[in-house]
Amino acid sequence: MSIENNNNNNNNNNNNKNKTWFQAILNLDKRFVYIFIFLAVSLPFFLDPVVDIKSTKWVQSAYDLVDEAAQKRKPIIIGFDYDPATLAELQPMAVSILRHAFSKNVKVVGINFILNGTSLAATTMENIAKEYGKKNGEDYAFFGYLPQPTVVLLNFGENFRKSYKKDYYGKDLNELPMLKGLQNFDDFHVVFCLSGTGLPGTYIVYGVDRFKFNYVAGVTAVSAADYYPYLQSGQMKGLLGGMKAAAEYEFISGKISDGMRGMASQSWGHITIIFFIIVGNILFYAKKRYEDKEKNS
Amino acid sequence: MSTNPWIWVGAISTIMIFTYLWKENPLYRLAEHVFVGISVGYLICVTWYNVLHPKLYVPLFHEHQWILIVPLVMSIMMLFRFSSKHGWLSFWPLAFLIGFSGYGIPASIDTNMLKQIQATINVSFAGGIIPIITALVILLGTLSCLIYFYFSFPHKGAVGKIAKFGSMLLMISFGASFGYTVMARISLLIGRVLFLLRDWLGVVH
Amino acid sequence: MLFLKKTVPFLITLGMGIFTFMYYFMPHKHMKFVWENVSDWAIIIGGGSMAVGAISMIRTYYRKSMNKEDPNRWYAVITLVCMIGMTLIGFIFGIGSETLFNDLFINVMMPLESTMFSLLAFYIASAAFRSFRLKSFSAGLLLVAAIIVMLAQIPLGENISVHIPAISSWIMDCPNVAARRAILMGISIGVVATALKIILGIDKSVFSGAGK
Repeated sequence: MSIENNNNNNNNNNNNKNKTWFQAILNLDKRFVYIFIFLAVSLPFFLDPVVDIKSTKWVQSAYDLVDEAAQKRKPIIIGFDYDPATLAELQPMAVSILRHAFSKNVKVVGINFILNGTSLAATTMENIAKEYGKKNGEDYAFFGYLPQPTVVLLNFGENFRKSYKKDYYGKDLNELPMLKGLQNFDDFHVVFCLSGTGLPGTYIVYGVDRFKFNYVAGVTAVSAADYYPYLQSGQMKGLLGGMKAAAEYEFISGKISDGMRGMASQSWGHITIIFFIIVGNILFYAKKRYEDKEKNS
Repeated sequence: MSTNPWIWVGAISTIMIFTYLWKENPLYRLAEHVFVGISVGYLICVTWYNVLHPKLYVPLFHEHQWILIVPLVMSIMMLFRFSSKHGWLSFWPLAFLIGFSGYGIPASIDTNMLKQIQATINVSFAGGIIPIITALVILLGTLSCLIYFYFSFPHKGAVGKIAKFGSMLLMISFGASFGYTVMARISLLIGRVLFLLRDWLGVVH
Repeated sequence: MLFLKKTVPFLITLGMGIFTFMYYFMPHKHMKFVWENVSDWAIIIGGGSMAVGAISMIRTYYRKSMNKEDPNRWYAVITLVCMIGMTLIGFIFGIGSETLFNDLFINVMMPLESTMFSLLAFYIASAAFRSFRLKSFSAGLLLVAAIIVMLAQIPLGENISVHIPAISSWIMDCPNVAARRAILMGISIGVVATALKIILGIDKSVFSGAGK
């Protein structure tokens, strides 16, 4: 970083010699750009941060599946397969789905294949359960972390007790009342996988195509585009892509939380980036034109 | 402003990492090394409590399921990886784990090839002009992109034009990905800014 | 010795590979019995192999901390102290929700990790300003698609034109599906080819690198 900064300073010195305003702006210290983006994200929180948004069909279908689970009185599974690195995008999704499920008395089973997210998943389930007066073992269960998701998913399709003997808190699964009569994916109405890794794909290869269940992936926006082929093929019933999808879910369920609160900052962040792209290109072509002119003269 | 000392710890940790934006400095390095240390400690404890204790220790030493000596020995063999003389012992459990990829061969062909080909062929042409265009783009676009990735013959003439169409679709897709990536990165920053402004400073609600 | 070093790992991979391959097509009850046992072993070995990562990290940082010529060796000491501290806290107080272990995760590890990744927002802004150039037709397509999708993600997009979210949705559901599907198929062929090469012993590079 320090070497980069030195280079940057050298570049700045060289550019001062050229004395063109657009070159000077183009070679502006990147810390000015950082300040811009920081302000663009921070300032909207001081205004009215909640903005109106519309839901997309894939978020709506995810929401509808939880509603159907409530009607059919079937539990759901949430794979909390994220860690603090993708917390900002995936945590609002987890919170929204949990709030929706608990508000409709849908029981939830949580699993986790990402080690660094284990405590996060447990804390999230406990906090949201407290809001709705739900009890561990009766209304929700968290099975904790296991490695080797491929074999765990295949075993889950037969009977989850093959891989999971105890829950996260060390209780025998057979002692948890909510798990009585539950065996495998067939007994759950929908399976969610919230992850910024390749795990949503693993769920399809080792779960959905083998055991045929309703499946929704909640992914980071970076990887959202990768999962659209599975939507068109029907292997996935819904997709939540990034914070926007979390905000949409909050909007549909009427429970405003961090997803919607962040949308104003998201808007200004996007506008700033678009502004940077446009200004960067204008300056680049102005510089190119100037250099061509210099060459010709 | 928060009076919870843990929130202060979180805020200071956040600011220490943000200082990297100015330039690399001892505060950032300290935070970075604390993170690595805590992460490994976390990994050890969670693996013990969630995996090794319920699946190995209790069944083997309390319930006497002696068959579990096999994975125990294999786990120990893994540790020979650091020995230049007996390192080959770690290859056995590794070979055992790699063998599971056998299941992935037909599963991957089914999920990512056969079902995708099926979905491409089965696109619906009903419902008006836009669904027809959509179906055609999916059908011909997938073929064009596959041809773009096929280098066993030169991309000239008709093949070149098809490949060009494929590359255009790929560019549109990568552009869309970039758009989503911007959203992802901004979201990550929003998470931290919200923590600082709301949970720590309490200036927004 | 070569038999133990090379042939046995190959035979184990081949045997397990053929067994799991056949299990996909024939989940017979005898096959299931074997699968249940070996899958449990895989989970245990997977958990046990975490120790390899932990030991590797301890070795690296221990060496660094012992190098008196390294001016940064105190950082390595801090890493080791934090690791030992977190491990002891986990084993003494447990890892449940209302423990010191959980507090340290939520209030130290979580802010540190999420802030590290949030730095990417600054870098993408810098890249947008300095590197995203409209130099060709392909770059133009990329730029236009990116701007449409970016606008569609925020309420402003709909305020500019009601068609922007619809176009963005079409881009994701149509050209994006075609492109991603082709990539998916390519990756799948690669996965299958690599798995076959390893299981059939053509690629033995996975069984190397010990003692480092």
